[in-house]
Amino acid sequence: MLRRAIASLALLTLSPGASFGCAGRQALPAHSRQGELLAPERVVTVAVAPLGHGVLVTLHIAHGYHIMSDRPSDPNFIATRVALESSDLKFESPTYPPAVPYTLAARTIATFRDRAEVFVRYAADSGVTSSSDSFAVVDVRLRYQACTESTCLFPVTRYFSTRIPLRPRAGPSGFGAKCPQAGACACLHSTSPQLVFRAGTPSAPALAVFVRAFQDDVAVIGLVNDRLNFTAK
Amino acid sequence: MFLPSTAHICAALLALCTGCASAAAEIPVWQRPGLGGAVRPEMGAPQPGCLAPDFSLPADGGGALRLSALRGEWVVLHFTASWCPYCDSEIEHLGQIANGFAARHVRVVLLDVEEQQDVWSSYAKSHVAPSVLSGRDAAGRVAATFAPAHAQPAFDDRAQAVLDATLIIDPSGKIRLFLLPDTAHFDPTFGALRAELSHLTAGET
Repeated sequence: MLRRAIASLALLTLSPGASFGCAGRQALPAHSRQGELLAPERVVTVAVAPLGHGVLVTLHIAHGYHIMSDRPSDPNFIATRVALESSDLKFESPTYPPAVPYTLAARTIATFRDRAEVFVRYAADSGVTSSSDSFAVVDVRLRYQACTESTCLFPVTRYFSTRIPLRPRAGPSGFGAKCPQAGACACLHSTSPQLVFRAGTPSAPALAVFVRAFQDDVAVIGLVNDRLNFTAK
Repeated sequence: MFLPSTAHICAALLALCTGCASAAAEIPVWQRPGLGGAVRPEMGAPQPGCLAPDFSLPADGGGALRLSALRGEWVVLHFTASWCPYCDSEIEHLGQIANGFAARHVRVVLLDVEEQQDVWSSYAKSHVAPSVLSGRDAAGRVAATFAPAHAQPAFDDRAQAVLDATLIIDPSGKIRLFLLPDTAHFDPTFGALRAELSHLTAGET
């Protein structure tokens, strides 16, 4: 389980997992340069991946756009909501990342931009065990309202289903291999249970998701510089 | 010597096709400061010079809100929604325009697009100035009639194309200025629109 936790953290840090939708975020799309906007349902690309004792839903938000956070700064604004349902699993309430402040006409609103990771833990009575190796079909409902730096798009609610393994497979990134000399990488230190982040200290939200996902399996000792120290329970 | 640009030629062709009178300007409206969101001829109708599509919607204060009933007055028509942060930051300034230009026979009309009645009504009570006429376009059908056919082609729901758009309509019902959201610039105070309105209504007092 310890190895799986390490591999999954590498996956959390480095890989978006399976994707739904087609909004790119690396480059500004041609239509954005011309002042044309994306359809609301194309602003966010969704990746769903198992992580520890839950599911990580990663929202990739197109460059130049933001969406309202789960706790908007005004009660009239549309909160981002992720809801998972499955006949095979039960879920706890989602844990959303901290909001990113955005200044709009002399006030600050609470948003998500670039990437937002929402973690949804399996409920205690969900029946998922470390020996589970089957798949579960999960229905995902995502609601959000997006804006650019000068205008807003209609709220949208999207539904899709995905099939996730109940026993996460070891991620390919970093674990058991040598870290590259440069670039983002997480891997097991050769002689002690540590994760080494070659790209620098992991972000607080990423660590929070990691701890919540693996709190049943590992005890985090602490983060020292770029090393996360933990032991297996 | 004046050499017509492609935009001028398009505007002239559009005027011939739609029957709208198009005033040839030395500088295209969208190139003027603060007016970057102005509709362009290639976006299709409705364009400045055209009669604004008429509509009749339930008014927030009761009764009907009919655009053609406002003939004889200047109208600033704006499309909004309570959940839209940009629209929300503009709404107090629309009240200021309604008050500031009342003596020039200007009425500000606010149309809420595709919201539930209770949500909009609650918002309107606390945010919309009494001097502003407001109504609810529940299904977005009126908003869609104002959406130029080729503006924001990614939007299947055409009402989306005019959310946060603003028009100046003259006393004869013709569109004189049509501003879509400017994707490169946002001014909640409507500075450029106020200047244009001030210029257009200069003889009204």
